[in-house]
Amino acid sequence: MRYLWPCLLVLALPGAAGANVDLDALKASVVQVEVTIQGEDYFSPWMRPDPEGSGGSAFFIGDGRLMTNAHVVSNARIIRLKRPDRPEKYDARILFIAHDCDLALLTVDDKTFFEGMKPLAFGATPALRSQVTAVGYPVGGRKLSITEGVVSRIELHDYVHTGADRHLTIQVDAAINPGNSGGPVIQDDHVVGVAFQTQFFSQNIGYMIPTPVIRHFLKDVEDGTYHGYPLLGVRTGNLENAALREYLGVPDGETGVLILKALPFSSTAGILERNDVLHAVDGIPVENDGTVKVDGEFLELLYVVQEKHVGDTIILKIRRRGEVMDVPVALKKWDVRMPDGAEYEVRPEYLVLGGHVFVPLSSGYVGAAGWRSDLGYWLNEFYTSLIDERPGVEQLVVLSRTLQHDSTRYQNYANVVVRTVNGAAPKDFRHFASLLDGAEQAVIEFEGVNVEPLLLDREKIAKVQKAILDTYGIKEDRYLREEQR
Amino acid sequence: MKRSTILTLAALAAALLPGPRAAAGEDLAPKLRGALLRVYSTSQSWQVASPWNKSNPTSGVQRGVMVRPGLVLTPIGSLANCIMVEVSEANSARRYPASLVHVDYAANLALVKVADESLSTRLAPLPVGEPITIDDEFEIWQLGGAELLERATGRVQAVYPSGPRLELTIKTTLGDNGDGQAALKDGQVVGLVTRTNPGRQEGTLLSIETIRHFLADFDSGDYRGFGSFGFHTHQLLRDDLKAWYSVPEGRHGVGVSRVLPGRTGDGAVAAGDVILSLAGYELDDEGMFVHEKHGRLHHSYLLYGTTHPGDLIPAKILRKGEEIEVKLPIRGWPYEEQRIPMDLMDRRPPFLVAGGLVILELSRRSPAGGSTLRQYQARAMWDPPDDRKRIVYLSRVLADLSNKGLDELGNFAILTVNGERIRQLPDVIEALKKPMGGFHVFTFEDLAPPFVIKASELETIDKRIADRYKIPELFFLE
Repeated sequence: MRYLWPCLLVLALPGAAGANVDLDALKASVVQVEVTIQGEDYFSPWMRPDPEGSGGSAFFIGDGRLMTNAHVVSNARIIRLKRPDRPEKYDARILFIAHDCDLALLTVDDKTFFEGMKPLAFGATPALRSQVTAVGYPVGGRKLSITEGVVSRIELHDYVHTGADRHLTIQVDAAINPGNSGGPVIQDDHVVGVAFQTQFFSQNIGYMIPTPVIRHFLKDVEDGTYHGYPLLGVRTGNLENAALREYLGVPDGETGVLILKALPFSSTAGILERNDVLHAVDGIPVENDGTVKVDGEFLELLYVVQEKHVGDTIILKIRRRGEVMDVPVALKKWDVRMPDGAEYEVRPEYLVLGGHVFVPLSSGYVGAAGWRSDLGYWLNEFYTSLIDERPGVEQLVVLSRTLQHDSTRYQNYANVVVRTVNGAAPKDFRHFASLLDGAEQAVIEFEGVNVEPLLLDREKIAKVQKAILDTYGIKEDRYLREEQR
Repeated sequence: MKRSTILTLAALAAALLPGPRAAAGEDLAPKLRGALLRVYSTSQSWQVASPWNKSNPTSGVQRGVMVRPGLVLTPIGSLANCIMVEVSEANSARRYPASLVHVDYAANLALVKVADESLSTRLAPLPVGEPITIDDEFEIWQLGGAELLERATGRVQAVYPSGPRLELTIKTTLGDNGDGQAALKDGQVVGLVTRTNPGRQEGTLLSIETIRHFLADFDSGDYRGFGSFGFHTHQLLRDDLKAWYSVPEGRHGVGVSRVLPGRTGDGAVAAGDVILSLAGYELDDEGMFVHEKHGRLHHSYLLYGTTHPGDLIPAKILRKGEEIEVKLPIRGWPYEEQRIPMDLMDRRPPFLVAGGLVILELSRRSPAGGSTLRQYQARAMWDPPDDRKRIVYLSRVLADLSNKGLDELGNFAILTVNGERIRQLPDVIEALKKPMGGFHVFTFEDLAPPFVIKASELETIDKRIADRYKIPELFFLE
């Protein structure tokens, strides 16, 4: 779903207000967000790209807090808010940011900012075909924009901010324009969603984050920390085919999905097995097409888990080799070193040795290297199959490139996955660094086709290392994150 | 301008325009008209994804040169999957029936036999000339529409091996439609144009060395073709790599990083060896040798461009610091030995439709999706063989009442059918004779549910699918 893009949006429809909106309250509560952002340079991770301006919308929800999208304020260096009824801009800061559901809470330390503001309350999920009003600061003007749309679809959808998350989403048949990400979508004077993304190559398709997702976020941060969504971590196949159900011994009248894999490090790792049949989650039957019926709507099975929080326990009813059993599963986040989605506010790791730049494989690096390199394949396949083939390996290390120098003449490596260092497979980037630092004989072998082995003479490297770093303006030879576990 | 002046200028221009003349002043026109021909082809391949159907036929025209009585030499061009060939003379649009008598896709050469005896006897082959090299000039007599010949010139800029072929980069005044135009020097064929870029006045010439190899092999009556790729090498420009390969000071060559089982070099060289010389030619650290005519060329030419499968060429190698002499075996890599065939030219792809599953053997040209299949295709050239003769895969599922819920599966490599490992397409047919507990069960290399068909229903399902999708036959095996 790469053609979806997180953008600053507006839901624009002609016509008078039909969703019972208190315009005065909106004018006092929906503010413009001006942000200076500075991302990361995954290709030259010792450098920082130029800061650039961005913006969006936010709305007051009470208790000195404003809600917006995570993508509006991700990698922000400066955040300023402007009320529609005042000329001043107020410095703001992030209280909580949830990249997985693209929501954030901001606050302003100058309490005068909140004077006269009316907090917007959250409502329920709007019905299909009902009218909603989107409010924000889209391009095309400086004033508050208030437009209308109709709810056209309610289902789980990819959230493109990370590219790896999927949550309940409401589609609105409104024209979408960059400019009001983070703005509220109103129905009957209540916020029923946060406008957040649109779709390329289509018309009148805009998306908002509905209140079940918003409430999940607000509940999550009640203890002062955002924990994020738990991951059940299963790959499933549907059981719509009668012959397949009969072959698997699923009795007539029972429904479910076939477990193809429980992902390593997920909630179900070591609990579910391939060829288990999942019949129900917390007593809610799983249909043969992988959906569950919630409030009269058939939604993806994933939805049941998404109503839960990290630390909650769910009961899975499964059939294993003919025996039906209830299996409790303690829900947790996907605790992996190599996430498949985009990361923010996270400085990329690197290590430069003898002119060779090593980085851990990440979604950010794959984007920088270009999806045409085969690194995208490695990233996608790692948790599907490679991790089973390489026990203990949790992160892949990439020789990103070779910085040209007298000592690296004829060496021009690019995007090579490192297989071994002196015969040992690096388990993760820190382990890779320790293998290099602890090496007595400096030999590195590379994964890949016809890639020349690289021999690093430690004595020679010691003589040229500083000169190479100085030449390329690299202050530190490495950046390694602190051990997380 | 007066009319008489115009006529005078026209006459002068006509007199100055170059006619086909040899360097010594001999009028070449009759010879060239009798040897340069147009080759018309109609081609039709099988649809790879639905191999019970043929693709729409296409037609093409290219040029060729008669080099043996009645035999026209031409590049492959549009002759791949050819079902009909015709030729026409230089000064006529009349077409004569012909047939394709020999093709070598690796050499990019084909021989077309003129079927019409009256035409065949009227034409006369041109002699095959000596090799040309960098800075040598040549001429090309380009066939016009139905008329005669326009002269273009060319000069060789570079010579390099490309696979088994020796090719020349040329600067030329030749226009479009250069495919198959013969490069001539002193009235003899010295190459065939295989690509032109009129905008940059550049092109590619297939060398006369490659043409001679092809023709000599054909003339022998036992065509063996060219050697095929067998091992990877590293340049040894870097001191650290020289140390890795234990190359003493003053010695030069290339390091062998991997030898593919059963292919060229296997049994004589091994990973970690350094090849110092091939066929009596010393190699430098870039893997180049000095050719008597062309100067520095990549050593792959010695392995694949000048040899036949079955040849043994002398080589000096350095193994663990010791210099030894070996006979390096040259091997071909025929279609039958390719686990993932490089192409399906002139072949009907084998297939099987069972229970709606469209099952194919993977080739590098297969329009396969899915990361597993694409990785296989990317590695097709060097993928070491395993116990599978072919990669058999589920291309797609033709929707039927019986496969509801599974009809979106596709692009999966098939691992087993009814518990039997699948090593080639006929294995699937054999496995389907032994259902498991009343079911036919397909499993895949990819993360996918098994595909299950009730064994008792397969025949009925197949009949229904053949009827619904108008499939004349549900399988074809080679």
